[in-house]
Amino acid sequence: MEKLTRRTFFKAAGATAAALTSQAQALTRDVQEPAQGQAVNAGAAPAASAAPVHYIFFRPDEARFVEAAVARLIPADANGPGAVEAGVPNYIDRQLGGAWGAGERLYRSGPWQAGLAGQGYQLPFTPSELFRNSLRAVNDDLQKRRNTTFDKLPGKEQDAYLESLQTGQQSLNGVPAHTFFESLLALTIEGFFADPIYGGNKDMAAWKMIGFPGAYASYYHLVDQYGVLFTRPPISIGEDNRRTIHIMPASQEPKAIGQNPVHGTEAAHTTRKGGK
Amino acid sequence: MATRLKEVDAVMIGVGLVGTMLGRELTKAGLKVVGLERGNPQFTVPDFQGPQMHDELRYAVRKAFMQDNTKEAITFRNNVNQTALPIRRWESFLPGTGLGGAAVHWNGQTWRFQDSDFQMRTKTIQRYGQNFMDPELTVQDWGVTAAEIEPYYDRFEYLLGTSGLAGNVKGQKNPGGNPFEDARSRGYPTPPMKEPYGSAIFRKAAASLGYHPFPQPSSNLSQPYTNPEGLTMQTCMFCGYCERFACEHYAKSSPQTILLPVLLKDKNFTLKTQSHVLHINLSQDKKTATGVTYIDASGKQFEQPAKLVILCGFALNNVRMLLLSGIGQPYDPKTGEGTVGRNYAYQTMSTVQVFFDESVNINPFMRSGANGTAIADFSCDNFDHGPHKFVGGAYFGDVMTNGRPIEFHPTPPGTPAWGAAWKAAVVKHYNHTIVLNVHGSSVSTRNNYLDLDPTYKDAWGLPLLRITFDFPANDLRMSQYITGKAVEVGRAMGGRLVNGSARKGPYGITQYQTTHNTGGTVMGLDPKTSVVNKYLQSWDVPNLFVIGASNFPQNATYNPTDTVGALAYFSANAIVNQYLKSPGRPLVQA
Amino acid sequence: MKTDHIIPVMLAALVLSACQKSTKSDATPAQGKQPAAAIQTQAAGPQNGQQAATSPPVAPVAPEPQGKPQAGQQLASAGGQNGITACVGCHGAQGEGNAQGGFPRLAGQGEAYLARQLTAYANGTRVNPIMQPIAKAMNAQQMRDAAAYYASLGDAPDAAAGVPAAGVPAAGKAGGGNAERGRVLSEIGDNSKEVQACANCHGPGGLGRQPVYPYLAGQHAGYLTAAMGEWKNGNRKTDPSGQMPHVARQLADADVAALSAYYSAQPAPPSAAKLVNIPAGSSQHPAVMPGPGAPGPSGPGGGTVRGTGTEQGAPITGGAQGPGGGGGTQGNQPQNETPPPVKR
Repeated sequence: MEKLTRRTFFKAAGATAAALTSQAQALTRDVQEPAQGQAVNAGAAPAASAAPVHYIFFRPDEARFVEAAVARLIPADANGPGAVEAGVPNYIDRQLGGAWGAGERLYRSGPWQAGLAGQGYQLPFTPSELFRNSLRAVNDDLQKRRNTTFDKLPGKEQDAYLESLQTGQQSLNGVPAHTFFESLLALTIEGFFADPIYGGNKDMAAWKMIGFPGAYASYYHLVDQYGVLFTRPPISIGEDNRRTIHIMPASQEPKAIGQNPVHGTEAAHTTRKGGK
Repeated sequence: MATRLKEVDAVMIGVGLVGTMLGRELTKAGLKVVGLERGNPQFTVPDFQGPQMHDELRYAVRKAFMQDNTKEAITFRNNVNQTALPIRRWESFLPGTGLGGAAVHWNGQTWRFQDSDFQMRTKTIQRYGQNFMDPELTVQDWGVTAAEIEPYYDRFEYLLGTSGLAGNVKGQKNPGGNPFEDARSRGYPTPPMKEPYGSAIFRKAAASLGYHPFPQPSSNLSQPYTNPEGLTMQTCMFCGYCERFACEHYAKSSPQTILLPVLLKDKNFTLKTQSHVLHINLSQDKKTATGVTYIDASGKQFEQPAKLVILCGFALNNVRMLLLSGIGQPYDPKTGEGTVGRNYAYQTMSTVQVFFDESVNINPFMRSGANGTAIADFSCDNFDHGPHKFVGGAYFGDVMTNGRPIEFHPTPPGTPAWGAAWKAAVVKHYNHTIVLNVHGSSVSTRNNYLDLDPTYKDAWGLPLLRITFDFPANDLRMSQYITGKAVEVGRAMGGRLVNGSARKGPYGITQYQTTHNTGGTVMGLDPKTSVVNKYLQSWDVPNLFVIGASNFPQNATYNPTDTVGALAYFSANAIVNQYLKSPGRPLVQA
Repeated sequence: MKTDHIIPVMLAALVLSACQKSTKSDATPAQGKQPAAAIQTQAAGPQNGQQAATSPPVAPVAPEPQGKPQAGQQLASAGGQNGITACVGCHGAQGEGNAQGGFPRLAGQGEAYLARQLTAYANGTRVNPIMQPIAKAMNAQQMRDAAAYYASLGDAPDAAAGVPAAGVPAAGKAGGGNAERGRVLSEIGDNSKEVQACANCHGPGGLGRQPVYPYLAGQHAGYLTAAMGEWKNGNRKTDPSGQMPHVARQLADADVAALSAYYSAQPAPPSAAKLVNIPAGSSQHPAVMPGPGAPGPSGPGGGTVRGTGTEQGAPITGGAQGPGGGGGTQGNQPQNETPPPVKR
């Protein structure tokens, strides 16, 4: 049976699990291919995802910005895959579409005042509201001033635009640009390095790149082997003993709503051929 | 309308480490005790097991073991000229919640304070003169000495099974231990932990400069150990998920592993979790606590009458509880009058990064919460402060605890925050960087204090606690000097680049430093400058004891937990052997 | 607590050939300038940020000798001098072991783990009258060779892909143990016995975690039960952490049978030797610094972070390892740039 049935997936994946089990929209599981048989050179380009990503939060224009932006924040290169390859847009989408995005664990009472930098985040927005407002402002701005969208800009101009957000004080429908940028960057880094069960760090590509062993961790017997290079591939929370990472247990995957087929769900189910 | 329950002998507010210890001592003395914990019940199996426990996003970034800001937060400002604003998400410090309290997800760093800490005012004046300290400092003596507390440190460490190497046993100096520590009656219950690579490098470098490195005392154990309560702990496996996480191996000293199973078997003890205490109830004349009022999980209010009330929540919550209950006089920084909320302090932290060549594998993920090697040559008053015009000190060393990549991916100064160069720098340095932690003291001042916020409220409609705090100039000078020393050691460690930065003001809550918030219910000999006497008994309400780091008059070089535990045993001893013989009477004449 | 017979992780042979010296490139990256103010810690005295010594004063461990699988195969099939019996006689032609005889499956087991067991048999840390004379007759290189050979056996990981986890077998198989109880112990543990989940160390479903923790999945039930007996009675002293003796003492016989039933019904894992990850940023695979035109900020604001995003700074400003432990690059603190003062 499913390795994760000892607890519901909600508990297993934590507070953000609500994002992943949202019944409201079609939800495609990213199919995780098991680790490769040969020695994995971290610099090799990873296989492209078999199934397309379906967003539960981002509208298409928002998704295009986010995909293009994170590709600049953490690009793919000779060192390893980048944010897009790692599924970071998918991660961000699930976070914003779930409980954290809706303001879980955020003190949300007013009155609202701008504070000193050392007083931290003081906006009324939940993360999802912050992104909605900011992305709308960004898209409006580029449409108005440049008659284009972010994903259509050449790379260098994308960088310049991101930098203008990073250092900018301009208001993006109420969100200071630098606050939006930092939120985006923080989510990008999270999605890159978090456990794959959250929808990013696909195939643990980021962990393989830096040599982080992942969720199964005990090193008592190795800690005094000074300077040893640790070469076992990482293991995810959602991994079974066939080296398949389950983003969500099959028994808890959302079923198609009404008559609409859920694209990719059939393919997702077939990773366990003949299994329950 | 609150339902009134049957009176019990004692009620604990909070069942964390102190609540568990006091519950045990009082039930052993035959009292009927109710422990009220507002967090959820949780146990090593099934709640702390891997691999789900090794989820950096959930526990370290989203802070699943911490209090929920949605319901209750804290407001913050640097000084009275500013408006305090809510800490809408925890970062600088992380108040925990849940059965077992912060000791479930602490790092296990277990340090004794020195006598120069307990008698900081007297000894500073003795050594450096009346006018040495900045005038704004409100440094005080604690009312106890290290020698008085030593047996209780011993008892607490043997409860935990702390792993370490004693530096001074009954006056006999032991090479390899901390040569500056005060005499202890015996060695640690278990030997020191294995020394990771980075810590071994630090040891060599520090010794080469004439300092005295020693293993950090750790309550994540180096070997299996059965404590005096008959509970057995296992060996720490160096999993690298210590602070902010609970331990799956039965290796971290937490109430669940060291004491709770025994306490929960005792018929005299009743544990109620998900029970949120709103305030302590007082008699008409406000001189006696009659019990507490709390709300259960479904929102129903109860009154729990009790003959004795032990307030043992997290330090900040202790202060708030007294303020909300109208016990004692709140401190007013303008007049200097009042004591509740006075002398709030924190910790003065800085770091030094040492970047190595790619051929040097540091393996930061093979770590534990309290492992590593440090020096105390600059702690407390272990060096001559005369030329330096500051008091206090810091220990430093390679005491790294983890390599969890969302939050740990060090890059040298000048690296952009994103892009290809950021990524290359992360790749180049992730497994080849040592970070030295400089852990410095925090003096109290007139201006740093706690009170109730005038504007912001919690989910129950009660005012939030307000922190007014900034780093005193004294502490910034201390940090500047000692971080410089740490940089020198860093440069002897054989790296390619050393980057250190002293703590700079102003204090802000957007970056993690420590959860060592102290003060506000200060202990002392003089009711004008303290809230509780040396036995942690309230001056105002003799059947109320307040126990926690809120008792500290100022915060010392070292981490607070060992001292919290020792004082808890010290207080429990006074309660059982003195107070209960004539309950309701002050143990110390004001 | 040094244990001489612990053998560190091996680098895969096929990677050593591609080994290159790490570059001596500057620690600072191609883009972005160095803000001087952030790294000064004192006005006088040595400048911070200088190049210091270039190798740490504590040397790393010497790498272990490489095992040669072909030589190991020779030993396995034909034995060796000094009384080294051919392994296949008991452990099977494919290293599959022998359930009835109690000879464990070796195929795909971790090389370092196997070599360590041979050393333990030789020096008596693990008592076994059959294995001891064989192990004593082997030298260290032969132990590595045999271990390397067996580690290379077993399914290729591709073959294992997509095959479902066996889950919980029907009760009554494999010695009558209650496999569901075994699964619970494996994944959750037992608080009343102070026993943690086996998976914490042995990996999901008993996959094993090389180089230290052997796989249990697909191992023979009788052998697993016997091994737990060795932990319990002290015949096996190969765990300096003390975890295994504790677990073995705490578990009842029925618990051990349950675990054996559960693990033996799992599919044997793919060969550990075929799963090697060489991280980037290592001697074998140094980080590649980006050329001009690579994505990233170019202007002076390139490094600025303030810690005021929706998650209040983390993971940009560094986490529990304190400021400077990770994330942002501004020395050790976020820039506290002040917006206009707050109105009361």
